Amino acid sequence: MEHYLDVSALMAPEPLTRTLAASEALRAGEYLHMYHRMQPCHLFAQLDLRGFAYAMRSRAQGYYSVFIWRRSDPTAAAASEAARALPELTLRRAS
Amino acid sequence: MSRPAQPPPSTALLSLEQTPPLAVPLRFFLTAPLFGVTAALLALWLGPTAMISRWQSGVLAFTHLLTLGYLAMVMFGALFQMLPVLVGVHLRSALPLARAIHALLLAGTLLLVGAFLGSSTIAFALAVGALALGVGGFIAVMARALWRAQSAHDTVIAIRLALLALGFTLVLGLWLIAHHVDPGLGLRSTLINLHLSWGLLGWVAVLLAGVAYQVVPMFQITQEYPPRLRRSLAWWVIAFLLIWTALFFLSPRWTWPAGLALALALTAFALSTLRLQQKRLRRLPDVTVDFWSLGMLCLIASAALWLIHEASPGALPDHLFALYWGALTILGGGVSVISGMLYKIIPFLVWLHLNNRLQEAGQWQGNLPTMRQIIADRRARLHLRLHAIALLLLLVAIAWKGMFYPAFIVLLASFGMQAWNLLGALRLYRKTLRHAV
Repeated sequence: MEHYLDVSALMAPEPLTRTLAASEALRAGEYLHMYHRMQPCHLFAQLDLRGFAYAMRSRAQGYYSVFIWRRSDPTAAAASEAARALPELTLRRAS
Repeated sequence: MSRPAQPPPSTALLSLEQTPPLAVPLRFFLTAPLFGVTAALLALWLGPTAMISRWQSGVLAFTHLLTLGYLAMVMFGALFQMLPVLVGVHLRSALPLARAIHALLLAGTLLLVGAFLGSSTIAFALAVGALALGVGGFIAVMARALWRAQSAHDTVIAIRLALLALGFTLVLGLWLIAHHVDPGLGLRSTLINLHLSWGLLGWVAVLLAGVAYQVVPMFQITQEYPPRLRRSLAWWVIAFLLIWTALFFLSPRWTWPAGLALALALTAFALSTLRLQQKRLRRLPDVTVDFWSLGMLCLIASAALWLIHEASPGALPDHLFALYWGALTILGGGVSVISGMLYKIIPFLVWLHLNNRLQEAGQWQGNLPTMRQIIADRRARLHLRLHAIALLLLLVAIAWKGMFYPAFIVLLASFGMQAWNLLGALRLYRKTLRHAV
């Protein structure tokens, strides 16, 4: 199941803290789809430390989607991979 | 004894492995406005007749209080903070290194200023030593971290090129000091123009642009800068500066195309920044956005002024052009942009370190102050108003000496307000820790 988090209109450090909070709240089979206006390079080291895997995809008009799931959760990994493969128009964007 | 409950994940411990101790950048950031205060006091003490021409010792002293004591001071602190985080390289002995470099830059600036004012050979010699060690040492520390990192990030490339420009600026500066002592060395006025061009355009502008690629989207809630601009601006500026430098010696009549290219490149950056701000995702009033808008408009004005002066040298006497260009570039551009940046970076760093110190002490139940609470918005806005008024009065005072004292009194108040605001962030940090731990 996808949890969608739009942080594209938030100022640092809110995108980072809200994404980490939402990641920690993921249950089995769930992944997080984070939508941001910039590449969240400070996020990835934090996710590595907490045992999360992630993949980033460029979106239209310079935005980015980051898909985050627990490394120990293959169901979530598969679900996020399917979501990542969706065409741009089908993917969720700003709220 | 029961185990403390887990902290809420929204304030979970953030890895600070690469982030240096708060004292590292803060010592630079808190010193800078004090140099601004000193510069304003110096001008008030010297009076209008000692501040008419860029060649006067008072103007040289005032300029270096701002370029070294304010601009370089903040930029050194920003690089000590940003570089380890950006390139993932831990700076060993960051605090002792920062202390040493800070002390040398501080001492070197004061000695240089004293030497200009008193024409003291000993002071010049000591200034050369302190600045060579301080600035040279800083370049060496940063270059070593960059060498180990091998990063191709746009901001990192801009930092590399800006450090190269700082190296040129330093060498030219040291040579000029030596010439000040022994005028027989020749080529002085040519090298002064190269020194200030490499310093303001190569070091200050390229570094601020590189840092902008990170801090403008992060803190002004804009999209990222256009990829083409991010990848190429720093290279173009350094290339044009090299061409300009070569032409200065080989064929001075033909320096203007390189100068024109520099003006256009920096104007493109300013316009790009203004455009990003105009399309901000959350259009709430923000003092950092306003400082940067002012800074970008001054950058465009200084480029336009240079172009007009090249095309029509008789339109404005040389001595007035130099003062206007200096005021617009240093105070209007550099100080505005840095002031705006500090009102986001300092609250962010205070928040980050408080978050982690409180977590480590098991005090996660405590309320962390928000970014806006760390430095009150109305105080930051008062500083912005004072700064804008000071700039305007200063531009008037260049032509009309009757405005000299009002301009520098307001400038003194502006830097004083900034110092008070930034120290307030430190006071809040210490108070929050004392109550919580």
